[in-house]
Amino acid sequence: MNSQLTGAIRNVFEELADSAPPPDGLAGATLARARRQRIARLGLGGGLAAVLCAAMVGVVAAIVPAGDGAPDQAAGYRRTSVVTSYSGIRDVRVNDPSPAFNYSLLLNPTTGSYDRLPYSYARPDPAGDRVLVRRGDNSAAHPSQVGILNRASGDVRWIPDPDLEAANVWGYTDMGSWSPDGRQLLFTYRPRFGDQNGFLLVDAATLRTRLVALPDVATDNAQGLGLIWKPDGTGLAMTVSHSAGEAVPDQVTEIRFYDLNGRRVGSVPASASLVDATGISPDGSRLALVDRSRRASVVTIADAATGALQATVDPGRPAQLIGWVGDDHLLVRVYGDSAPEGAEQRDLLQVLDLTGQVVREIVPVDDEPQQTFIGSADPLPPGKDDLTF
Amino acid sequence: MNADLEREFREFIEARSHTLFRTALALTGHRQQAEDLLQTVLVRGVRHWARIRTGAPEAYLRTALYREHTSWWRRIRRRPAEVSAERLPEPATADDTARVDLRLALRQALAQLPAKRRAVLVLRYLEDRPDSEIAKILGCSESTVRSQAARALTRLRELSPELNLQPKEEPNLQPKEVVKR
Repeated sequence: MNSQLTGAIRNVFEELADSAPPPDGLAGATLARARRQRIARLGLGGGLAAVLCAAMVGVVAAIVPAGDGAPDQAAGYRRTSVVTSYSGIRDVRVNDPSPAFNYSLLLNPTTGSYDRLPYSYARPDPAGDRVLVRRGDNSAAHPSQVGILNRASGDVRWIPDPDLEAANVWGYTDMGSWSPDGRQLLFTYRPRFGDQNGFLLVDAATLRTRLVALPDVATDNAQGLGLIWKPDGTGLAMTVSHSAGEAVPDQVTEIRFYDLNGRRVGSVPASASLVDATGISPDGSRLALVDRSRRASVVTIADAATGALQATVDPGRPAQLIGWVGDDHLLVRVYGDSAPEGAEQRDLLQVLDLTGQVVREIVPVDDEPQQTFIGSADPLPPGKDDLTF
Repeated sequence: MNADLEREFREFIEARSHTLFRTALALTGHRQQAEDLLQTVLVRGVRHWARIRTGAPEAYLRTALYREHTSWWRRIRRRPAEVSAERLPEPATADDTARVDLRLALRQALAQLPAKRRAVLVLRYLEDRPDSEIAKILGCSESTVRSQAARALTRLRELSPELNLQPKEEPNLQPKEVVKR
């Protein structure tokens, strides 16, 4: 590094920043554009807006509009799921953008509404009785802590820092996930210093923590992704990626499987990533892979046993994969900012079949959660069909 | 939005648009894209104005600017593939050709950086933010900020070898003082 370069960068940015005044009439133009969008929303509303939007992007053959009790048109598709938590939402009333001030919205199955939790991460367990929560931002003022919220009592049992080299272990883990049977919690652990890379398994009953050494999470994980559970709970999967230079910084080569003692038990070739715990279909037969380096929204469906390509699912507009809905559908979040001009610029949750057809669409309750978790819609009270998919 | 809120929003824009637009210009390097970026974020601000007006609307919108710019879908739509005639004119002078050539080379190299890496450099060198704040604004870890910055600087040197002027150690990459605009 040389200081002349950084000085030159400063100068260039200063020149750019001062090179033009803000456009005249910015406030008026902004308000007019916002007004046009509002009129478009009011005029088109509901299913018609969805249909028009789909027609404009030219990729959707059929859309089931959100609405109470609307029948689902896709054969074999039944609404069984619901968003159980919107996690990591920035509180716009707080000046400090630290995640320590983020909150989460947790579905209350009794009322069918979402309750605000003062935690930056809230992930319900498979049964819905407990919630893995996190607070803090790994700073001295707000050290990172993880705990288990008992929904019935409202109490949180904070998980003690395990006795490892790092002073604040929870500051160097991923956010954590429940085992499929709800008995354990998994945290991928990559401390900044030292060589204790691996994963932590926490017994949800006793809070006893076990570190399993797995150097691969540092050496074969250029993308820095966390380990994810296999649906049967017997092992874990990791996207193997290596840096291949600036042009291809984090190239994916395989999905590797481990047992719960960190032993390799298999792998399949891959060129895209498993980005979340819900990237493996519930029956364990399929992987939903996302190519993060190409910035595309296309999801690749691969055979979990062989890595063979089975399908590519294209949402047709920029979207984020949330996970599987059953074994034959995906849930994605499509971004409002990518909506066609004049259409409502609001994020939507869409259920896609494996041909990319939208079979269900709902409006999420908040604009920008960092994580969206889904679960069973069984306990919902009547009249909440608009939440289910 | 009622008339009072609208008037308040107009006053806010008139007072703060120049600082937000500076950031947008540095992020995009392109006047038209900067206007588009800023207006997109401000439209969102209109929708949420009733909520954000009592908090810290400028901080909210500034963070939104960075996140909007670095979001990958935006890069797909607006990624500048090359330097075009629409770019801001370089104020070249005949008697300082080497310096201008260097700045031009640097602008062109910056234009080829991925959005997030450029955003890290803007936050670090234009806004003089410490890595901890950059991480919060971009919604990533401090280690990611550092790696993105290192990769960005490496890439700049690769793209424009002439930028390697008189190499010498820089003891501290962190800003000496934090200047919030």
